[in-house]
Amino acid sequence: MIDTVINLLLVFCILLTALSIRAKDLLLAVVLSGAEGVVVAVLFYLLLAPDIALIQIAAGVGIATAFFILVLKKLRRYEEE
Amino acid sequence: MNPTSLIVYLPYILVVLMVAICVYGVVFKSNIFKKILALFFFTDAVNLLYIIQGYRRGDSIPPILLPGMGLSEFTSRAVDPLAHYFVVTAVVIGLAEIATLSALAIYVYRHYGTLETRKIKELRG
Amino acid sequence: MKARTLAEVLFTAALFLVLAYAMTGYPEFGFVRPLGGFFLYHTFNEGNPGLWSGSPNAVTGILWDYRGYDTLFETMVFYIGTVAVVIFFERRARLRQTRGMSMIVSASTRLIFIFIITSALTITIFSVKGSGGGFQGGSIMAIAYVAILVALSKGFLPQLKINVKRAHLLRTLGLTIIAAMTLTPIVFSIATGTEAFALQNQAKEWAPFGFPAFLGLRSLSGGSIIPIQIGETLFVGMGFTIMFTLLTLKGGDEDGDGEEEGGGGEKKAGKEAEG
Repeated sequence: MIDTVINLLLVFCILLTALSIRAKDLLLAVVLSGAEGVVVAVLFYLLLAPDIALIQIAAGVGIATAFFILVLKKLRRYEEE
Repeated sequence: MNPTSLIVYLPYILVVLMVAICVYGVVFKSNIFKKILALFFFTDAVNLLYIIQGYRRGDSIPPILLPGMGLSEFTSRAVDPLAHYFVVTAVVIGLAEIATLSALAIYVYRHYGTLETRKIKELRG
Repeated sequence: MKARTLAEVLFTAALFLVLAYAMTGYPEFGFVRPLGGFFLYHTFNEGNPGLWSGSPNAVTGILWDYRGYDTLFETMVFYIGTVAVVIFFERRARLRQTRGMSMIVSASTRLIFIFIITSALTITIFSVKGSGGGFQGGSIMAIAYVAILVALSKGFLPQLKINVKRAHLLRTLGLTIIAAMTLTPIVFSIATGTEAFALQNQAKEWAPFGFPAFLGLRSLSGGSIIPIQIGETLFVGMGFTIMFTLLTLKGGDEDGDGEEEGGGGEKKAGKEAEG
């Protein structure tokens, strides 16, 4: 049971990563990275690592997303080709 | 390889697929910001690899000794604390590394006016 | 262009196959290695005080006792990362205070700020008993800053007496706590002529120095771990605050050299002119 849940969440995580790397809009990519961080935090919690889940929610989701958006404000929003 | 061992190794293989996608982003994406984002996903994937490796199947508990629990029961049920230790520092250090790289990216953008490595190459040569 | 895409996909697939093949050499999913079992057995083993760390949370015990030097140098890496951002963005900057914030908003924000800081310190202090620690507490402390920045405006920060100089001071205070706890055993060793090593927590058979394992209460154990964690919280939280403050400052907020901001994209230049 727990194996199935973990595998499904990992597949979800991979999908979000791929979508974020494919996205032309960098702001959308950053938001998707935040979603991926939440999924990773849930995985950490399910794998019995509450310490890591705490730090992932605080640093990996909160700080990193805010940081990326602040940096993106100083850069260009769209990828060029 | 028989099918049961494939199911046992499935979490590892999925994490490795994520690592491969992140390497694709770091190596082949032209935008520097996208490269930094892929590196961020890379740290997440490697952290997941550590935690999955330290997991214990069955009736397991987090590596915190609760009052009233015997030491032998704790040792036979808790998950691996060493893997957790590596990830605690790795998340924060990864974020500091991302901050430094972002500062460098802002400087590159101010200097060249673009973030695409292909265009920067054309400008130089 | 088409051949290039094909080459990229082939490269990624080949990398995936090689890594997946390498993974089959790993131990099976759901199985703890002997080294992890060693840490689990010894971290709160009261029958063996020569090897214990005094912390019921095994992760915290490894973090600042068994592998303390490792964490110390990770702290140094974080320090160097902060220094790099400071070198890139350091200016004679001072945020101007904006007006128009009502009394209620100001007071409630101050209250929420205090709540978040308190929760960060609680997570730090009780990390030996439950889950948490210095890095977690520091990240939550930095979240307080981000919350104010996102919910209100950066002109609001001077009212809460947050600036880069103060953050540097607090960060240095955290580092001083860590250094003091690291060097205390050495000072003791020189003073008394007995053996002790840097970052020593509990007494060993060959090194009699040791911090008291229980700080008065039975619920707060861990010897030197709790003070070091508080120092780490201050250090990490203030490091992130410095990074955020320096990245948030724009041309309009500065006293002097605003010309450095130019030379970006045309959209950005227009925004700068308006602001």
